[in-house]
Amino acid sequence: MSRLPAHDMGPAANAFRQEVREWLAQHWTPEQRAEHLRKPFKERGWDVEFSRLMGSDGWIGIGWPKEFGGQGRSATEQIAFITEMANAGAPVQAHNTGESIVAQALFLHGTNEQQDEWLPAIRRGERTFALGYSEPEAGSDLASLRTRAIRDDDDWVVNGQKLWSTGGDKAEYMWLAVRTDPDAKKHAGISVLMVDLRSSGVTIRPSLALYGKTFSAQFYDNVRVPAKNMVGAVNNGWKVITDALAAERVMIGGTRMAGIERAFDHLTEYLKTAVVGGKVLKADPAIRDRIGALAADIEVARQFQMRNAQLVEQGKVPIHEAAMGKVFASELQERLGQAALDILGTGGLLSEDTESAPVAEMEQVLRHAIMGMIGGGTNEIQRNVIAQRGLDLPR
Amino acid sequence: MDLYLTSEQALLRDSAAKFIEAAGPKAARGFRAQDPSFSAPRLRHAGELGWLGILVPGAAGGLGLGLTELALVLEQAGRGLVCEPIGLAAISAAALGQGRTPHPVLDRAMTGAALIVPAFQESAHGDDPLAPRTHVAGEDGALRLTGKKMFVCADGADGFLVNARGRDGPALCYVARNAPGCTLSRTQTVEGRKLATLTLTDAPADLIPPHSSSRNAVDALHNLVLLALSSELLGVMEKANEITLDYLRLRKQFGKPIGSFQALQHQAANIYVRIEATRSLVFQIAANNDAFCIDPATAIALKAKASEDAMIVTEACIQLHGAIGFTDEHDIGLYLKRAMLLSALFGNAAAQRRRYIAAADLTA
Repeated sequence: MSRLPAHDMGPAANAFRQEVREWLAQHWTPEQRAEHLRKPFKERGWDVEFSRLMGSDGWIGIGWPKEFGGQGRSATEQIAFITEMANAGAPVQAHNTGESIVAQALFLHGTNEQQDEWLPAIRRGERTFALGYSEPEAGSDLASLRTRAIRDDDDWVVNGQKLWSTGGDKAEYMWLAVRTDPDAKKHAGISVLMVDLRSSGVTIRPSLALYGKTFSAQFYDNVRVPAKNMVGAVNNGWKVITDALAAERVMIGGTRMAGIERAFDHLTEYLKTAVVGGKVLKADPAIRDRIGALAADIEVARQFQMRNAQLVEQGKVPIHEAAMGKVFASELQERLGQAALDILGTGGLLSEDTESAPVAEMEQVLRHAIMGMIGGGTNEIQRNVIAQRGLDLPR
Repeated sequence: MDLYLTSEQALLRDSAAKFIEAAGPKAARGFRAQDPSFSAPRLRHAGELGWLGILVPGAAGGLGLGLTELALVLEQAGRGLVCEPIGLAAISAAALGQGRTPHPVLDRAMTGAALIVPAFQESAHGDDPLAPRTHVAGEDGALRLTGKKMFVCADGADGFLVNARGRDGPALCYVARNAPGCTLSRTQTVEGRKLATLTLTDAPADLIPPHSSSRNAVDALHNLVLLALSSELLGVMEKANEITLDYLRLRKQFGKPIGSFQALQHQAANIYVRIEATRSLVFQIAANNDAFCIDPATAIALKAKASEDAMIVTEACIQLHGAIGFTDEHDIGLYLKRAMLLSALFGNAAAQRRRYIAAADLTA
């Protein structure tokens, strides 16, 4: 057993992939990688310096349209890029949210001034974002959010509380969903603000999540946000959010896939030499069946990812298609994590910071999978979207 | 499944439930970075309540009770995420007290003054306990153990019950923690409890004879391990499920309790079915087996089922909570991590399924 075959990408994408590999060979050396892995688990993956380096060499926004300073790369090329970065374990989380979700929303809903100011900064890796959506009483029912913004001269004054923002203890800006009209129907009174988290009145409370990394709760106490930082029209935020959420689901499906492929390769690498009770594990038909089933599912998930990227490329917003990709990829990751624990046995338990763990971070794959099944809208909500928007079943 | 308990059994269960009230997630959280990862006084308290001698005959100072009583106590321990290794200590005491002359450490093992745990695993894959590579040499009275045991719950342990290859087949041996030639190296697990590799180099040991009703002392203790871990896993699932049902009734979204949504009701029903399946197995096996002669295939099937169900159930419980369940602050994640630990110890579901085929002679 060996690595998954790479996607058939055609000459252009193959050449591009080679370019990415060469850049990584120079800028993400085994020594840098080893140094990154020496950091505590919860600090891995978010590296502002590396994001800036990527930005200065033009690797952020490769899929953006050229008019916004991107490279206008095809969906295939983007997938090649994401996969290469993930296989190399390169830390891309610092710029990811800005590059995908915020940028997507700015393309669709931003003013020219906003596009001119924010997109270049994001592209240089100099503006990092987290998402401020969930609240104590607004989880799956996101539209019931209560964080309030009231207009005062040239500012919006924000009061409220947000929860579970991944990267929310490290990012500089929050992509914040707020209520601007409390009297309108719940979907109709929402707007989106880009909030500088260093503003006075912002309190950030980091906390640990089940998968061993941090996220944050934030408290907003009379925080003044310049009116020019609102994206989309006042009270049109639900549209901005749902468009951006679709991009988030594509991203969740995408980055998750890349992590899945890497974990799968680790597992098959382990199987090359694993012997249990005197028997070569990779010869066991049950193991072969399970590995084969996972490989087939990974191919399927790649195709979902590809289709979504192509829809975005065509200027469409994948809704139920994005939901399908997200449900499939996150549940595939759970199956992979479960298979890894079954195959690795008791050694799979050793925690992510244990050097002698047989295959690093494998039990963590399972705990991380649960985040994919909940984050960006739970898979139950996704299934509602698939049934109602994709199949047109009655509400 | 309704259990028909005698009044003594019900009393025992209730006193166990009372003991665990003082444990629970808050205490378990506190032990995550501690060494040892449990409270020694509470282990002695469990000894005072008689639980560590629950299977030891009255003549040897124990309670002389059976597997149903053991399972009832350990189910409660699982519910309370109890960190004191009551189950492993109680079955080790049973082994120490099973011969015509109990081992001298038995009294201290029953009071909790000394913690003795089994050390059987030699690989990550739940190997055949009757075919260990660790070997024992020498005459009775001057036995020497050599070999390596992995994933030993050695936190705070004073001695180990080791399965070893002897002249006449697999033998159960007692080795003291501070014996010459006995070294431990410990690693951290996802759950917070450390697991150790125990290296034995010509370490002096005592032979533990089998109970008169056993096929073999190693076989008897190993089956007890599987039943004990499975009973705890049952409790872990039950409590995780109760916490989740409370949340489904309390949490409102879209103007109603989320437990009113059919998609979530079906998941809750699936969880319930899984728990009842493990519960039936635990108490059927407990009721129908001699404590020192549990049918190995049945014990293996139980550990396979409990390990699998506990993982699926605790993951599903987090899913039903949504994002709050994914926070470290929320208790529900602790049940997943405990399930991960107990499922993996002494062989996970996959390892048990492989062993079942051999134990039940299905390929003969």
